[in-house]
Amino acid sequence: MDQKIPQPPKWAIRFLMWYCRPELLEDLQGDLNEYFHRNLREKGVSAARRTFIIDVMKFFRPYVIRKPSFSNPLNGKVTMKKQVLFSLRRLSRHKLTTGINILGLTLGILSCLVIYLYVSFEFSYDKFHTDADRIYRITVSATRKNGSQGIGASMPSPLAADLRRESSGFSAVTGLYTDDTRVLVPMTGKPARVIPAIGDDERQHITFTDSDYLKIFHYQWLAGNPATALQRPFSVVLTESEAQRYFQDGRPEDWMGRSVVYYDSLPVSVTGIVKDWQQNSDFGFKDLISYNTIEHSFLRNDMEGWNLWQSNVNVYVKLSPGTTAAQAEKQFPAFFQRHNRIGEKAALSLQPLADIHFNGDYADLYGRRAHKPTLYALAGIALFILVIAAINFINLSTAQSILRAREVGVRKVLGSSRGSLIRQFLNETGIIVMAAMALALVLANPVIGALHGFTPEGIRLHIGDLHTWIFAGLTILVTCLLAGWYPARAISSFLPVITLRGQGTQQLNSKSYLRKSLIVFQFTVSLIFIIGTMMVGRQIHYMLNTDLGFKKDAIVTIDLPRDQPKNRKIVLATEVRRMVGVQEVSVNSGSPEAGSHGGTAIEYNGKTHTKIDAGFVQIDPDYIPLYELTLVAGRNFTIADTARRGSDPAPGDAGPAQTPYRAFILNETAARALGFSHPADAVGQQVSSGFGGILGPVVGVARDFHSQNLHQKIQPFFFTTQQAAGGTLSVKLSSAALPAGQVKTLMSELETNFKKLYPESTFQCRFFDESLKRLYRREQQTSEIMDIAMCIAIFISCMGLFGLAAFTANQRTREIGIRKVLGANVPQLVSLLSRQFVALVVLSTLIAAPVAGWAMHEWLQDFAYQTSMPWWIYVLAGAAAVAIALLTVSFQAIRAATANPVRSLRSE
Amino acid sequence: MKGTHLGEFEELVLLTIASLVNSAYSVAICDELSKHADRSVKLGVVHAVLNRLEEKALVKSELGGASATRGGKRKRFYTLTTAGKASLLRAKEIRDTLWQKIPNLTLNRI
Repeated sequence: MDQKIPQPPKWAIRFLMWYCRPELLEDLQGDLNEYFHRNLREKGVSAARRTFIIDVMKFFRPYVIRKPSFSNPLNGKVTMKKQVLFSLRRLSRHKLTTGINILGLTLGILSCLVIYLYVSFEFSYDKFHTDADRIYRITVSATRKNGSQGIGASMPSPLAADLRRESSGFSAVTGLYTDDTRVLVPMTGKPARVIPAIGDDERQHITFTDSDYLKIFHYQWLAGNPATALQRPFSVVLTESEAQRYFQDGRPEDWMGRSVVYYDSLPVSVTGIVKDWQQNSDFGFKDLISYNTIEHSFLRNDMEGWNLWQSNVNVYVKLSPGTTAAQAEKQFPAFFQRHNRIGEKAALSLQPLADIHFNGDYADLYGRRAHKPTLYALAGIALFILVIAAINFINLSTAQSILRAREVGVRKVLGSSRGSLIRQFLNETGIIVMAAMALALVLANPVIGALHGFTPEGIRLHIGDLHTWIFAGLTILVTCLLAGWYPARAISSFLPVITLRGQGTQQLNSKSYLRKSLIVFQFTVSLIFIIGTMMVGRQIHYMLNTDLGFKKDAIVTIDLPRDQPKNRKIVLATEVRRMVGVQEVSVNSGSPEAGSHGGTAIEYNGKTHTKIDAGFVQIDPDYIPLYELTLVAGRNFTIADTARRGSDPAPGDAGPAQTPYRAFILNETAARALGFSHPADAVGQQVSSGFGGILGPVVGVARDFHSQNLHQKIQPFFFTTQQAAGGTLSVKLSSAALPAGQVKTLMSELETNFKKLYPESTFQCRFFDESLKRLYRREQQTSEIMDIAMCIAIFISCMGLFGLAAFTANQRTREIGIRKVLGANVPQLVSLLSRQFVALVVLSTLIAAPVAGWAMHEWLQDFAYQTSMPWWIYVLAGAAAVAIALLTVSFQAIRAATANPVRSLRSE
Repeated sequence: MKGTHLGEFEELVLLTIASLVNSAYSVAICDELSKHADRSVKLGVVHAVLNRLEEKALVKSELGGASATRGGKRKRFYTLTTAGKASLLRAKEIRDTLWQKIPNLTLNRI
């Protein structure tokens, strides 16, 4: 009969019994039962149950909940202070293990910390602007006449002004025309100070812009008025640091109205001084010159109007509140239609400010791009290294637990609860982790300093920064739990009956499976890094040493100023050719392989009309022999080709638009793309190129060579004649193996010659092979990061192995002693001790090989020309890992094996 | 200590315990209060107050008889301690004094 009476839900009762204080439980449970029965009568089963559950939940309040019972009479009095003391004693007794743990965790935490600082640095870019979510850059996706697609942030120069007039939904629209030039600062009573241009490698910090720019990006004004400062032509707003650089002393008010001369002939006066932004930004402009200065000066000749996407013109907008990007974009097609004189199909769109720092598709000349996948990969690497270090900790602690088994037994017998034991072990872990964190915090800044080469400027650990401390706190917590939780639980689970009887090891043997799999994991990660490093190195070696189709050794390139009369180039070339140690000299517009070349269309009117896009370089007859390019058909240019070319309309580097070409040399790909099945057939045909469309004969066909880095397939390319038109002087030295001293004299001699003709310009000279290496900077960086990650991973893994081997050897001292007495020799003993570790590393190789193989295959997809991935890479990596592991282990093994057995057996 | 100050609800619970004499346990107190105070009184609230009163040593409790409806669990019976009685009296005194000071208070005058 009793069974038929409905009962309150069991789980709720169990929950109540779990949390309720024992002294309150009986009474409370009784009350709840009484209510349950009452509700049963009045409201029915389900309502009664529901109320019961709700009441149980309601009673979950402080005065009902039992106190967590870690403590008991014996251990309860052990204060935190004593626990720390115990832990310190234990740690100092096992110096090797403690040292390995601290060192490993320091490396792990340090990697995490540095990478955290790096990643958060990159993600901090341009986060500080007011209404940053309303700021956008206008980008374009264009379909060229030949059908190829292109995207970019380059804009026609009048776009900003026209858009502002003809659109709605923007609270500000501004155009930037960025440039780099040297600056003259007139001084009273002294010659003007000359501040050189920053050069190609640096980010530009001079821009022409208007008042709207100041509405989008806010500055703190030290002098001047943001509303009017950029209104009139020939005004400039300087940041404080730039003004200090120019004028050297004085206060912001003193600098107002002073004159600064850009481009040697464009004087502007200072109308405002603003504070430099302290935060990270891609908009590092220090000189803001009023945009209408352009139309009032010779610079208007550089403006192509609506005819061209100009790479140094960008447009930024700020949306009005309440307007979405999609709404604003709707007016673009009609707007572009009205103005388009470029003759391309193109769609304008808005790129959010937050995307600018990470989107490498849109290039500009002042910002720096961060590569998000690289950042994520780095974060992953950091995590792996930390996990490897934590694994060391787990392995060493569980291995050592044999020693602690008796301690645990005694503690338990004396009434220690499991909770308090776990706390004691976590306490130990905490001390180690905190020591490691302290070390990592101290080492972070020196390490960042050492990585200076491939991390951007400005990353530092700021001790006062709250985020740093939050990160440190979280890392400590996570590491403690990651490293300490399992050992703490494992060790505290020992049954006193077994451990005190002296058979602790039996219980512990099962743990060695975990230990083994953790070692396998560690070495798998290490091996993936090893294989990765080898493959990245191999690809870089391949890229730098593969036959590019031209010579790259012993060639020096010198940048020539573009705004000087061209006969000076010829004079300089002649002078240089006379120098001792110089074999060949050519004036041209660029090296055969560069980050970018000029590009234009080339057409052939054969049976069918073919028009292709091709890269090109303007060269003289000395170019092809100098770079040792091979001609598969036809001939090189001659002086006659160059001379017949016609005259330049203006001094300097006239664009292809005005230059009637006479002769062409195509590469094989271009010849094929124009429809010649045999490249040689192209010789003698008339092709036309460029905007001018002047016809000219193909005089030769060059064997294909790599005109871009090896990420790209070989593209159609051509050479054309242009006497002394380019801005580059290529000089071939007589031998690649010149002694350093002689190279130095040659360089200074080159500089002297250069300065004689261009006294005002800076002498910039590079070895061509160095320039080529720079094309693979990112790969070099990947390789360096992989190197470091590999070293750290291997180092930490080996430390763990070392500790374990030391421990095993120690445990088996007696066994080894007996074996030795019975006639085992040292090699046998060493192999006995090392065998299992080596087996684990071999297993790791088997796991790592396919994983690494797949990962590297993916990485190589980024290259049009890939090195091979031979099988022996894996074998080599595995062998290396085995060798390293063996070296680590055998140190301990040999020590154990050579010890005198008398010592180990005597103590019985 | 929190002192002997009595909250309004505490006072009601104390009075109920006193009025129930020997049968004052949580459910009974709850029912009695609901009946007289004309408001729904939740068991959880009563428990909390009883707990607090016991902490203040105004009531003492002992476990008494079990019943079938309680699933075999015993009841906890509450009785006033001397301190509890004293604080009730004191609360009444304060009120009385204040009442006496009011010259003539009837509801309809307000």
